[in-house]
Amino acid sequence: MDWESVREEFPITKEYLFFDLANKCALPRFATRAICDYAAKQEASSGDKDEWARAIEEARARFAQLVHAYPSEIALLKNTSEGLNVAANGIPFHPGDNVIVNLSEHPNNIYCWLNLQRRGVEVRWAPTQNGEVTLDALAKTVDGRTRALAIALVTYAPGNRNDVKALAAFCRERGIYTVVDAVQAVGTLQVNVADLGIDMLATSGHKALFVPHGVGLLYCRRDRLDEIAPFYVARAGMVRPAAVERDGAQYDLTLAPSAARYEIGNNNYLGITVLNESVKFLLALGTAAVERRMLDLSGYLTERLLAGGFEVLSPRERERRSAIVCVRVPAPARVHAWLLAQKVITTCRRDALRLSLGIYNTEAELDKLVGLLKAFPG
Amino acid sequence: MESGLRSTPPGLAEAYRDFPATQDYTYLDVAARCIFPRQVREALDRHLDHRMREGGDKPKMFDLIEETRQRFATFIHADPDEITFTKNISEGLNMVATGLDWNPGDNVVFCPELEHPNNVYPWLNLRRRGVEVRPVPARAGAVDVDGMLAAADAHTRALTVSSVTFAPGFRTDLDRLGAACRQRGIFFVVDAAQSVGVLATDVQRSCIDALSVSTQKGMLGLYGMGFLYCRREWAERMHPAYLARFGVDLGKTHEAALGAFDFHLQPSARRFDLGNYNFLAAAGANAAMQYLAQWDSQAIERYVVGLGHGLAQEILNLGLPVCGGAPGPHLAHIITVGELGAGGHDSTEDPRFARLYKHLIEHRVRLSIRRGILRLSLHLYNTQRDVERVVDLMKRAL
Repeated sequence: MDWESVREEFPITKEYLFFDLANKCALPRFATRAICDYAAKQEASSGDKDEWARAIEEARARFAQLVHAYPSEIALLKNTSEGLNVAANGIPFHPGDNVIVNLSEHPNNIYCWLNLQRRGVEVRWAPTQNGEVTLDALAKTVDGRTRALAIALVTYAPGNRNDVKALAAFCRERGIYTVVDAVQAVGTLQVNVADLGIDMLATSGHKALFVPHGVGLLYCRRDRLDEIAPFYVARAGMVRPAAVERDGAQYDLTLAPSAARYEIGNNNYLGITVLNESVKFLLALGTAAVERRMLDLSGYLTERLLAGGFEVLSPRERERRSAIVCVRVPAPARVHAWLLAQKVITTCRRDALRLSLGIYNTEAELDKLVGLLKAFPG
Repeated sequence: MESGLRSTPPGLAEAYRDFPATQDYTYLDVAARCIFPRQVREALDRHLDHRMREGGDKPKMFDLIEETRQRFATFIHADPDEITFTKNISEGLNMVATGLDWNPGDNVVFCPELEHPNNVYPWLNLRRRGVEVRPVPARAGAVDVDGMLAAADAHTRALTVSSVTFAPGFRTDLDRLGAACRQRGIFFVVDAAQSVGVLATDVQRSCIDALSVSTQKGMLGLYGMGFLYCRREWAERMHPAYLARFGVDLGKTHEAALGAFDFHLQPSARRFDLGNYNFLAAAGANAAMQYLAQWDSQAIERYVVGLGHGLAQEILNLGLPVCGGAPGPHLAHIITVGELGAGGHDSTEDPRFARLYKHLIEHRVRLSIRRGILRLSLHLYNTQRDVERVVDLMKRAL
């Protein structure tokens, strides 16, 4: 793979060392080109809704291919939070049922579940070990009233991978829905929803899918669609043509048989136009090649940090790590600010410095980063 | 119409110069979506450059969100805390419809035959919670204000209406409905898709409790973003069905022992903020509102409605059936021609209008067909010349 030419697509690399993909992407050229084309068309003639409608179905099919789902299992939303809330409000909970979460989740995969407490749903906390929920921890937390497990494929910090396949298999045997926050995995690691055996997956476009903020994606397994009713409804989620246009008195909720039932109102056509380009780009690179590259880079960074005497909080094993490497530094906020002054972009998360990698990063950049960390004047 | 144009402040009749699309089209389709002024395009470009070359400074991006929230609040005479960001009108309407604490037997009054389907489904969806929907028939293509108020009773919790219907495009007397709802404690919800940006909007004067709008029509922005206004007194009593970190007041929330995770909601409508914002569309909306604020919103309304009334009269003079007949208070900036219902959502069965539509499209006029009728809709970039041109084209096609 010619990673140098991939790097050329990312103008950010000309001026910065960019290690912040887990927060948001810096837009690649193909994305800005697509946006400029779109904006030019709307400015010149208000744009072509049929063209956007085609882009939507193309993007849906491509994203489905990316995560090994059927297009009819994909809904296009506004962000990860919307997808997780569709899950929380759609899964049929009864008072006294419980859902299992853990403290390593992003707050957006916690509040949507805590919000069910007022409906009599109990929120249970699975213990974690360095961010991970083990099968053993899960087994000790479930009981006969457990309806759902909410879990990240990769945590936002320290960036460990959960063994979702094993956890989902355990849940499936017990009729428990597995809902996965995959926002830190999609685009950097291979995600195969069929192989994972999960029921729902939510993610966003603005990180490793290189889309501006405002696009979310939700996967819902085909055989779960009928069980999980949409909570918000609009025409977009109905079978067409519905009775709606001619005679208001005939109105009824005729839900689409696909995951489109979770879509409401007009879409973010611009964002989805970009998504279509981005997923095409990633599929052309190949998800296996991208994952290999990301794990090579995170492995290299981990080694260099360890050799430099730093404490790495993320897992070291290839099968447990991701494209995120968290490192303990004395004063993360100050290190972050100092690095930014040297044109190095990182993030602080959970009292550590988070370094998140993308396909445009190079070993030379990682050497430079570790060198800078060692040189931090304190 | 003449008097309307005479009261136009300097510059408004020249606004079209800021809209590149007006060089190629007679654009009469804002009721579907807008064309934007170059100022919006430039704002999008600036935002993109920043995101491409520097990754994006998150504090600055959040400042943009607050500036945009403030600007929209000012735009409709509300408080910033009463504004939340949505993806579109449907999301805003679903937020309030599911946010009220309904009791079985409560009812909601509306006029489904005139509402956009997206202001129908969220209310039908409440039937599974034992809520009764009370459809009120339209009167001569318009929302029957007296009929709506007569249909409301002691169990009516909400009443919803469009400020201007998407077809046939008549204006609803919001002030009268709002005042009556306020007096009776009924939650007054307005789908303002077809009015904000073109017609002056004042949620206080009209006693509106919730208003949902998207940015791609009269607000001159992109698809994929909208605003929901929810009046403080109601919002503070609501619990959002969808909740994420931005809806939680982190200053008051503490991570206590496992399982005792407590949280407090953000004040007012901010509790509905959900996940990351569509920053790019916000940059566009912010620039568009800045652009529109060059003029007094009443002046924009007078100018555009003046053009609309003139266009309606000219079309009537051609012997064509304008919905609603002679221009009057029912008519604003959307002019519809034909017989309502003679077609599907975006087609017509009347060959005469199909021909007329084709002729206009071929001559670079942009308009829509909705529910079997031709729909021509105006905004501040339209001019008297546009009116004359389209009337002339119609004359030739007949």
